[in-house]
This record gives sequence, structure tokens and C-alpha cells, in this order.
Amino acid sequence: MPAIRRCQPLLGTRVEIGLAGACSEDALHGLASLAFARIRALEGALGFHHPDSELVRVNRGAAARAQPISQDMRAVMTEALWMSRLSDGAFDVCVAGPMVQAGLLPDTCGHVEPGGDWRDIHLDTAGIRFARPLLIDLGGIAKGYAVDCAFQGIPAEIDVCINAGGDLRMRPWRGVTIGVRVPDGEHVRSFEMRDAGLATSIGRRGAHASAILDPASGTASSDPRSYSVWAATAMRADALTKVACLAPLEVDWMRLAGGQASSLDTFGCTMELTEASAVPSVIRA
Amino acid sequence: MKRAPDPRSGMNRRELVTGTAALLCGLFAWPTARAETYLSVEQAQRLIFPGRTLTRVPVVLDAAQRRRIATVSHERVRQAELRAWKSDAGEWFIVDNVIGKHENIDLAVGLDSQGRVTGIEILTYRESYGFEVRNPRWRAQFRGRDHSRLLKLDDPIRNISGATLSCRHITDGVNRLTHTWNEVLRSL
Repeated sequence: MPAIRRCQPLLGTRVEIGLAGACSEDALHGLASLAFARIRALEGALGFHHPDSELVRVNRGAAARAQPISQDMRAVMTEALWMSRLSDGAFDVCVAGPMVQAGLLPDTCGHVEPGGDWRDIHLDTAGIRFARPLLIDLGGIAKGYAVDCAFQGIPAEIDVCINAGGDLRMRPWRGVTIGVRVPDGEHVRSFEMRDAGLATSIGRRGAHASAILDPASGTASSDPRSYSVWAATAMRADALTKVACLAPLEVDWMRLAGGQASSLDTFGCTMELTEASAVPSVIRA
Repeated sequence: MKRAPDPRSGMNRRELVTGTAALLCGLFAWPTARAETYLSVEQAQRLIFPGRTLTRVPVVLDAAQRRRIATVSHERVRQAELRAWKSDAGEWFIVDNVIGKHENIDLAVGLDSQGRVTGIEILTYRESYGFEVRNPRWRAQFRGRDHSRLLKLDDPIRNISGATLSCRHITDGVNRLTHTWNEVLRSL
């Protein structure tokens, strides 16, 4: 069966697309090229770094009046707000404010007073509106969404794996072995895929990883472990890794969201976070 | 109380000596831990410029050109000889190499007749962590740990999750090539 693998720099990382199917290699390359084009378009719309992006327009104008938004932005924001509600704010796209203050994101939208959070974001038929000036960044979720969009463009009879810097989705996934990097090491630990989507985040910022900030306090995580989450979609997995990094004991949240999580320490030892025999549900104080 | 010697410092000294000796012998090698080839040059040409006839153009940058390109792009020009092809429509297809701390990447870049990027494809990706990977004392720290499912990077796992090195080197390399077009290729 013909199979191809392609790789392009996109989304600030390397995006790999693997396809296999009973058709010509040219046809597979055509599908891959379309998938890359879809991702490129999303990068332009949802990126914090692009001065002409939809996201920058929303950041600059949504406090003054409702901003009309694309279907893609609506899909991402709907998921983001659901995740914020589920995780009691551990996931919050308003973490952009503290990230700009910490110099982790460019200052493209002007200064915003701290103190706002996801509850100040209102999504309705008119678009998106902020109850107060806010800065939102979709870096914790948009990569997964881009993977899902590219994935959905591949016909069902074609086997596919789309991997955007470690956020991936594949079909088929049952019985497939993948590798997860040991954080700050050069080894890889093998795992069996537990669902179609997988994402991994490291708590602590390093040469290989961007920072995870606690949205409430603005402080950076110093957890050296990495957290891998499997879920039905790459976007769900991507968002849940942030929750896993900041609140690894909140097993109920993970299960409610349909996620399965494991952590890896710098020695390559793994801990299962969501298996039935793992840490029992934490009673919140 | 005397502290036990840190095995890591001894390992670093040995690495430095070995690495320096190898460098001096001209035998500096990349002990590649992982390598993947995505496309050949010809495949990349067909994907970036479908249907075009591309002709190889010998271009060797002189010292002044290399200096100018390095100044405007803020990146050193490591190779004077370009692997460049030109189409009848004035487009350019360039194969280049970028090296990061742990990565060695061959890539193909397409530029239109105005020097704008029309496509980027990674041809080959190589990942390596130098001599550390082969150092027995470094690997000994894993003794007693459950590493039955712990693999070296050169085991055949194709799909990997986890933190990935950013593609900053690629972006800088592509930027250098657009400046190369501006300084040299646009007048060829």
C-alpha cells in the first residue's frame, strides 16, 4: 500500500503528515498538501504573533463591542470556555495577559490591566465580547484544533497520522505504539495509543518546552514532569495537558472530559493518572 | 565531610576531551540518534513547482556577498555554494541545510519571481545528542529504573509526542535565503 510522510515548519514547530492508502502517491501528496494549506490558514487566523490575525482583532476590539468571529474561532472558543468551566479556571485562555507581562508573548495588543479571566468572555450569535479589557491566547488549544481540521480533510479510507510538534491524531490508533519523549532527556518511552488524539506538555519551561503559567497567579510551573493526555480529538488532548500540568490530581475532571493521562519524570518513569487503581479522587478543601 | 565526586562533571570533561580530539582530527561526526527522510530533491521540486522545468544554476557566493547576507539576516552563511534551480518564470528552488544544537535539517524552499516564499518542505530531519548518548555513566543513571519500555531515539518509532525543539532555526534559515535572493539571485 503506498505511503508517504511529509514535514513542513508550521505553528512554530514541525508538522508531520503521514498517509497510507490504496491510491497513488501523487494522490496522497495532494491530500497532504491540502492539509498543510488548511493548517497554514488557521495559523494566520488564530495566531497571537500575526498582527493581521483574527485573534489580534478580537483582543484589540472585543472590550469595546462584540466582534464577529469565524467558525474556527467559535469552535476553539466554545471548547476553551467549556474546558475553563470544567477545570474551574485551571485552563484559561486569558493566561495571555500574564504571559505578555512575563515576556513569553509579544506585546501586539497593548497593555491590559490584570484581573480578568474566562468568565469575562461572552460568546453569542453576535460574536465574542469581553466584559473588560482582556488578552486571550489560543496557544494552549489551537495547535490541537489545527491537527483536527487537517485530519477531518482526509478521506476515511486513508490511514493518517498528523503530528504538530507532538500534538497528534491518527487513524487507526488501536494497537499503535508511539513514543513520548522523556522530559529534558534524549530517551523516548514507548506507549500504546489509548485514543485517537495525544498531546504532551511539560510543566517546567525548558529548551524543549514553552512555559505553562497558572492563570490565577501568573506564576510559572516548575514541575519537571511531562504530562501526556489521550482523548478523542487532538484539541481536547491539547487543552487537557494544560489542566494535567497544573492540576494533576484532578482525576475527575480528566475523566469527565474523556481524557486518559500519564506523567513521565526525567528518569523515564511513568505514573498513570487516570486508571481506576490510581490516586483516588481528591476531596477539594 | 568530603562530597562524593559528581559523576556528571567527570563525564563532561571526558566529552570535551573526546569531542575536541575528534574535531582536531577532522573526524567530527554526528552520532545520529534519529533520522527521517521525507522527500527527495526531485519530489520536493514537483511539489513546490508542479509542472515547471527547473534548471540548476551554479551559484557561489563570494566573501562580500556572504558578509552582506549575514549582516542583513543576522545569520552566518556557512556554505558559499548554493544548491539552486531556476524556472523559466524566474522562480527559484533552493536546497539548504540548517543546524541547531541537536538537529540537522535539509530543507527545500521555493521563491517566486519577487523573492517571496511559495513553499517550504523538510527533506531530511536528523536529531542527535552528541556523545552523551553513548556515555555508559550517563546511561547508568537508568539502572534499576523501569526502563523496559525506554528506548533509544534510534529505535524505529515513527510517531513521537512530547516537547519538540522549536523550528526557529528553520525560520532563520529561510530568512537567510530570502536575503540571499535579494542580494544575489534576483539579478541572475
